[in-house]
Amino acid sequence: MFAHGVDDATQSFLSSNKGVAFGPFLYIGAKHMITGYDHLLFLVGVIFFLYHTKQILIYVSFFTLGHSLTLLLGVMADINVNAYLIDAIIALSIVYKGFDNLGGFEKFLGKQPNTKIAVLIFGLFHGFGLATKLQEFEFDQEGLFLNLLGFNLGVEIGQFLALGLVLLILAVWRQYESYLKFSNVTNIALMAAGFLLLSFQLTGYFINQN
Amino acid sequence: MGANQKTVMTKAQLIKSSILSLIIGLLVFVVAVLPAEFGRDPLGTGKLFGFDKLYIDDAPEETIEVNTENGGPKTFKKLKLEKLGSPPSVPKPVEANNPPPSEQFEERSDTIKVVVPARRGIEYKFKALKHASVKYEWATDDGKIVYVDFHGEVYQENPPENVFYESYTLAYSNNMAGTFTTPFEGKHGWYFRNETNEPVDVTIRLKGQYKTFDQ
Repeated sequence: MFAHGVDDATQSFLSSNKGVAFGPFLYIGAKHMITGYDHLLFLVGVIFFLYHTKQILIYVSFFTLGHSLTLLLGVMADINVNAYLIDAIIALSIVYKGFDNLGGFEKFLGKQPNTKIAVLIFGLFHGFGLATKLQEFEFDQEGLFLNLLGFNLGVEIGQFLALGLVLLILAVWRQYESYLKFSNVTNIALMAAGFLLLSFQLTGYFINQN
Repeated sequence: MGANQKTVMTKAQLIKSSILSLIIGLLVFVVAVLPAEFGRDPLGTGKLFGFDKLYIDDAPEETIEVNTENGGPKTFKKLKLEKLGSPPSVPKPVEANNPPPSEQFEERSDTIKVVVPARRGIEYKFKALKHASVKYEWATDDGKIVYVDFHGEVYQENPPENVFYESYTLAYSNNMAGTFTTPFEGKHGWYFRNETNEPVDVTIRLKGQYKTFDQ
């Protein structure tokens, strides 16, 4: 099971699909986002210290811009990147965000790297991951663009649903003192999860080399 | 960006925290994920906690497709109890009741190829003592269906003209496998009949307490 895998039933649909299938692609995109634990972890990291709706919307827009670009570009131009390496970079983004939340960059570099640009860049990588996964299936050229739009829109919907859930949980937790008290522990745990995913993806990459 | 809400860590604490997270991540990976997802168990923890049981080798499995080209039949005669073995007029030799030996033939394994000519039958047999255990597998190379009679003949010093044989299995198939314990000492094996207009290759694999006839 890959974090960015598509399950067997979905795979069978994708392989046998012919023509325009906007609805199903929308569903697959949304499902992918909600069940992708690496993406959820990254989300937790990014909004951990975001308290305002406006900030959250800005972040979501940058991320969306990033992955929409590379998803469309990747599939339309048939660019293929190794899925393990892309997923390793996404795992690294979790470590990055955990370290950032601990105030690590401010301490060592004197300032925090631009969060919006960082989110945009990780959005670009995430889009390549999606594109690479989708390219593993034989696509019908007919209706490709519309299907991609459906998938991309599904990714957005899934992202909003996941974001809503994460925000809800964090909002409740924020009522308690333990939120700030445990913020360091939470972000260390986030980094640990990122390192775990990183080892998983790199091992997958090296094992599948031969 | 809400920086004032963070509990500020010193550089040393940051480094310690990062190393701690790396160690936790790697530890979970080596202890649980590596045995469960990749089937490798460097610390033996997969075996200890049973994580290694979760590992599924997803190498693609061989599949066999039914091939009915070249006059291969699509319908088969129903196999009935009455077709099993030699006719009732041939008595079962008393040697079938001999006690099993204390030692079996040495364990061995072979892969044998036989060609069943078009519209003909052919036999492949091995020798085994009473109560020997043999694992077998056979498959036609191109998925064509053959008729098969898996059977055995009792070892006799002076065999009569009409030899008694016992059928263990009758089938129309292109692939079978099983574990077989011989009911008596003698020759055991398969009669394959090819009902198509082309020769069919059958590959047999054996593993167990038996001897082949070329020995």
